[in-house]
Amino acid sequence: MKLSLLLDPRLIRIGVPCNSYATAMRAVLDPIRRNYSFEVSGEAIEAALMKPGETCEDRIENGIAVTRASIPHLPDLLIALLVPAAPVTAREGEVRLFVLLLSGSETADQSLKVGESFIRLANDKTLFQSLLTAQSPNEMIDCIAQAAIAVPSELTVSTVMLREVLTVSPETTLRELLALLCTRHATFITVADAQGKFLGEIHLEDILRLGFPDYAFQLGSLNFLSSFQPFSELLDKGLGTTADRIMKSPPYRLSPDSGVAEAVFEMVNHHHRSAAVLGPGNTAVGVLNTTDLLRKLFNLV
Amino acid sequence: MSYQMLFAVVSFVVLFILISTEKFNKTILALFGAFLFISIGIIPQEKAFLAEDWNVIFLLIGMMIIVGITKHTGLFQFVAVKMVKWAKGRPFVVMIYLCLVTALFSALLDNVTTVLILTPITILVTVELGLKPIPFIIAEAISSNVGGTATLIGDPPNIMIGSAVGLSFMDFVVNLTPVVLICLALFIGMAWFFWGRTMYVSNERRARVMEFDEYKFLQDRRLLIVSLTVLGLVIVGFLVHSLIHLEAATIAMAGASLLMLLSGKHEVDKFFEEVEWGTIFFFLGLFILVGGLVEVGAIKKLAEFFLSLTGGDIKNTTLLILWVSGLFSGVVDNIPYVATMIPLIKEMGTADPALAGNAALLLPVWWALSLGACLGGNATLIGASANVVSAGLSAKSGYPISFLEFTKYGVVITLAHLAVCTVYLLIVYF
Repeated sequence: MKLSLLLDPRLIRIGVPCNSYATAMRAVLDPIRRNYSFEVSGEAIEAALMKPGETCEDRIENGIAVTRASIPHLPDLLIALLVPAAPVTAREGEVRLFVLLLSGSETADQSLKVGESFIRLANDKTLFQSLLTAQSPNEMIDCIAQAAIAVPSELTVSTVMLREVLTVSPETTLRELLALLCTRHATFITVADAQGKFLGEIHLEDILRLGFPDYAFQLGSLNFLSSFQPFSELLDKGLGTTADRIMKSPPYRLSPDSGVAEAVFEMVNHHHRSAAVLGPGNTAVGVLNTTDLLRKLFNLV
Repeated sequence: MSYQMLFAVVSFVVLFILISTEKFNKTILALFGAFLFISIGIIPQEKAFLAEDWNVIFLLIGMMIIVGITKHTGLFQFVAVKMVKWAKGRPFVVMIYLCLVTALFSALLDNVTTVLILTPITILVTVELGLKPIPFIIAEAISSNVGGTATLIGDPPNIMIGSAVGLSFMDFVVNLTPVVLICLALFIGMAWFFWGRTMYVSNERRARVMEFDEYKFLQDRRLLIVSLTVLGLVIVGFLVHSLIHLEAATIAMAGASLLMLLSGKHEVDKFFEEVEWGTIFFFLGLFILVGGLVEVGAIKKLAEFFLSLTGGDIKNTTLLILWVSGLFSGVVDNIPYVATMIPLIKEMGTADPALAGNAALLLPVWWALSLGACLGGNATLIGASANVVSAGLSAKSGYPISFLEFTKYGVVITLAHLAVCTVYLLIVYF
């Protein structure tokens, strides 16, 4: 599906003065409030948009800010664009194009795909520049149409992955590892060599599993004993164990271009709550996390 | 030797070597070989089906179902822990009891399932006692092969021999169990010298193991009662099957059907999942391969060669078969070996005018084949399936057993066992 066909010229604003991220968000929402009526008040949507990570999700890359928000019972996917008169400073850098995606539960995955299309569009410097210099909404739509930007037919991992990857070296001790996991409230960490090459991954369960060799699982239950030597040993002496002894190689490989269905299948199949996403040079470029994945896929942002 | 015979022998030897290296799946090799033999006319299709020993096939299927269901009752783990507690955690006594339990289960069930179930609990017990698990795992693997030798159903070579020669469960018990008990006693003595002398367990560790609650293993009491009842009936059936004129396979399948009927709650598909279909199809392919060798006359030639070596003397033949089988089984899979030897020994019975018409004269040779093939598997890590399975489980739990580690004990024990069997066969049958 062509991205240009989804755009409504009434929801595109060009050259609007915005002195902050919040002002820009209000400005991009404005034509939606004027042209569409919902059961939810405009103020409620605006309030939702002001809480990134809770009620909305934004992604800022290469001068574009894509904000996705879920509006219950919204029967459509609404795409609003705003080119500020001057770049707006945000925490991830300057924003030159704001994209607001409002979706209902039925259009959640489409919203993710459209967001991904805009991110890819911004990677094309020439196209992005021509969009920013468009004189009218229709000219902007024509520009996207001529570039034949398509909405991907399948959700890819890059759309839904978290880009912040916690990585440690193989020599990191369990004590250091646990400190890091606790500080960052994480349950998953990747292990990489000095060049950043992915060596393995560690799930919280892997750490606990150190206390239970294979024979314990062969027995199926340990209810007949009150203490278990390997587990006691882990608690007594385990903190010095290094990451390379805990890490495991994932039985599957996910890249940013892998399909979300494929990724979810692998995670479910291997009972993994997190998975590393590997990019060029075998470096971890992202993490898939079940909680975050569910939130995004079911549009619960 | 005709070209057809030459091709059959060469193909069989190549397949035999490939199967023994375990580099390829042995079932696929056997089935592919069977297809090759049929397709190029070494054995006609009709005769290929007649070459199958259905008694072996259904005895294996029946016992696999019975054991597969019974293992879910926790009975085996219960008995193992009970033994450890009866031994009061004294390390060498624990080893003796576990070896005896392994040998008993292997005699009445099958040795691979026995080590599959007992190895994990053995590792757990030894680790909790602060002992090295590897000596116990090796001892149990050896005990399982020794115990399996005692009965018709204990080890696949015995199932094949019993079915091919028409020997009953009691024939095996009467003729093999005494020597197996001697071998087991000898092994326990050797185990004391190998490992027992240096074992030590602290009082704290011993107390910890004595607190195990073995009754927690018995979660499904109903299934336990049903399984034990059916297993008991099947064993009684085996003891009297020659009197009631029923093959052991019929007894096993009847027991399996009854157990499936009484266990109730599972779906039928679950019961059939307990059957190791790979093993069953391996036998199906193997019987056709050996049938092909018989068909082209290769077995007859080999039998004549054997007779020429021993001059037709039964005593010499018995001892030759015992030692050749023992040494062969240490390095190659004993199942295809026995499958090849069965028609060969039968052929010797017909080729020698002194033996023709008097099958009883050949009995010592059959017992020698059984003892050699079953006990010979103890010589190396790859000599028997039970060794491979226990070493695999041990390695997965962080206790790898090297080929050399196993073999340095296995060879000595096997030579001692073969020597005992030689004396036994000479005293009892000659």
